[in-house]
Amino acid sequence: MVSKIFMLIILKEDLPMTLNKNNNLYAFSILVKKEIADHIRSWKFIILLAIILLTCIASLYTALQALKNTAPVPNDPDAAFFFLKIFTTSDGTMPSFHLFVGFLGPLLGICLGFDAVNSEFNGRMLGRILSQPIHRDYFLNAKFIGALTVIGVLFTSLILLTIGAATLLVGFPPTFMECNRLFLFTLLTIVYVAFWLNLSILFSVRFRHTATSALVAIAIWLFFTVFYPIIINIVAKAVQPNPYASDAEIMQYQHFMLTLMRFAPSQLYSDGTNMLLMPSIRSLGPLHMEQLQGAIPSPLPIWESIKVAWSQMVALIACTIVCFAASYYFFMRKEIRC
Amino acid sequence: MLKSRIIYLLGMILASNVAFAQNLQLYTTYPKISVSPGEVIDYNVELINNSSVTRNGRISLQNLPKNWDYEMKSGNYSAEEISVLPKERKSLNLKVIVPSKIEKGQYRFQLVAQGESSLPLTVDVTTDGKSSSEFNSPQTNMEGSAKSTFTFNASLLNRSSEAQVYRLGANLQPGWGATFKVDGKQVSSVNIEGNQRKDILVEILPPESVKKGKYTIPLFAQSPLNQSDLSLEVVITGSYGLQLTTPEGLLSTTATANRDKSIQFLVKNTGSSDLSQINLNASAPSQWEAHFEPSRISTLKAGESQTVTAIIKPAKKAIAGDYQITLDAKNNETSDSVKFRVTVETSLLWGWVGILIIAIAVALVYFLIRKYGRR
Repeated sequence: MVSKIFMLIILKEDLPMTLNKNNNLYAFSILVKKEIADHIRSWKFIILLAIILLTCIASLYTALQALKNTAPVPNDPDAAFFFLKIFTTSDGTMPSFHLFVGFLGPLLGICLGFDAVNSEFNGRMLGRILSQPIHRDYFLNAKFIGALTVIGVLFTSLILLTIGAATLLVGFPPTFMECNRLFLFTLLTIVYVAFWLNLSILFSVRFRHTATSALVAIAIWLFFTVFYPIIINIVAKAVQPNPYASDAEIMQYQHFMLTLMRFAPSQLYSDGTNMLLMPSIRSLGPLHMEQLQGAIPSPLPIWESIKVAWSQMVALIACTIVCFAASYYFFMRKEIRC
Repeated sequence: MLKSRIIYLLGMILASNVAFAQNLQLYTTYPKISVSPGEVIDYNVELINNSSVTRNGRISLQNLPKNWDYEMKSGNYSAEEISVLPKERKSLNLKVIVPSKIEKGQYRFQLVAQGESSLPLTVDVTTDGKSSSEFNSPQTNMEGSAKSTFTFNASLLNRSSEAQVYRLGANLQPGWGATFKVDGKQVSSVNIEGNQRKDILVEILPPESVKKGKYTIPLFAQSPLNQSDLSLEVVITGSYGLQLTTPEGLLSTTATANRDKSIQFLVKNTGSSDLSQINLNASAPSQWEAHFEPSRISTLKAGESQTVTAIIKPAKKAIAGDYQITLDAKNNETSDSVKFRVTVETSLLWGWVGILIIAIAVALVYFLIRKYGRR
């Protein structure tokens, strides 16, 4: 809160100046900077950051060890993509990097967003900030952009660190193809965490108590990570076709189950990362034998990989934007005088 | 009778030192001849009895040079004494074997009917051995395809008395090859002792593009003194070769699922015979469509090529990535097949739909900002 007041002082100094566009941007950038500073100094963030860093570094380390000590499998079409394999390989002791991010990324997003609006509101800070000559949406935008910057910097540096360490270890740099794929993987990870961030910001706008918004957000996360797979299993049992059913029926069933699973954001994320990090994957759904006839196992060009998982990526990006739009809408219509 | 009289008279004139009054007379047609060393001279000698009584003649060869040898036969017998009835004659066969190691020059010796007459004979030895080598082969004709190697067994005989070095060569048309092998080693010249024979293996290699037909390969063995030739005959039956490729040699392409893709192919006749009725065929995974246009080439001349178009349409449900299809060209004689890699790309339609969805979401945010953000 001290920092917030400090910010207000700065803003007050700006008051005599005419509020042109540059000043608006300046004010916004100050809001964002304060937001980032708040996050970095907050204990909840530091603790979560430590958990994520430790687990990710541990999984990357085990992956590097596993890759270093095992001879490549002959005829492995992914053999040329060493740097991609680091993020997907595991020697069994730890889940691989992309699984960890899929699991802990939501927690990070929730942690950065669940008290974004309601804590300020409860602390009577919201009214004071918005009494400054800035646009009202700057507050929410700054909350979002600040948290997004923190997430982006965190994952970018984590992946860059891994690439650097791997380059040191093996003695050759990643190829251009791998760099492209890793760049897109970073973007996708940021979008995925941003989705949970936006969702928790939405709850922080809707619910007056921080505890409520935090619990609701974590409940949704728990639902999708723990209960949703159980529900899907129950549904699968119910609609499972006879083992002697025709191929078409089995295909239809598998498509249906996949569609159900893709309602979970983590499934969308893992589909996207699998396509980006394993270039030899050619399809995410079940395939007919006739589709595989004559197929040569070879890595797909990046463009084709994106096309295969494009609908999943679109869903993730669109959900993120829609969540932001919803929180924006509710925030703008919120009664802030109390 | 008249004939015998004429011979008799001629004999008297040529054999000038034959005494007219002699009762037994020796006669031969060629008392002076030229031979090469190592040759065998075959004399036909007549023994004529001029008297009215039967006479015995002891026939011998006198003053024969050292190392020379002879053999005398009358009828089937080797005879030394011959008896001739009055006014009759008897034929003798005299073989004089000229030694191979001999000086050049004139050699004289006499055939003598003891006490009766003497026939001087002169042999002129042209000892340097010119035209005294022989290059031949028992089988000078061979047949095979353009891709086969023709191996001939030849032998070279040095008839002269001295060792000679023969250079072996062939007057070949461009593209042909000839190698000579002696004792399993490839050689370009061969050293042969006097009066010795060496077996030479001649390998003829026709060019791959050689046309069907009969070819004569002139070979020679040349020594400083002489040259002998050998003509070999090679009959090419023609080869059949077919190649299916693309003009650039690139055997991969990209194609979009459920959309036609045409690729230029080249059918080449790499053989030396014309090919007819070449069928072009494409075997692609099921649900794919692949065919050639035209699907049949009626004739393709040797060495020529023709462009055909392959039309490939990946299946509607083909997944992105690489597929392999096999294309082949075939006729009765030969065939070629090529593995072609098709990288399937998926349609962009759903990509645009996705972009549209994102655009709608962004537009929603923009709308909200316009409506509420800047009041």
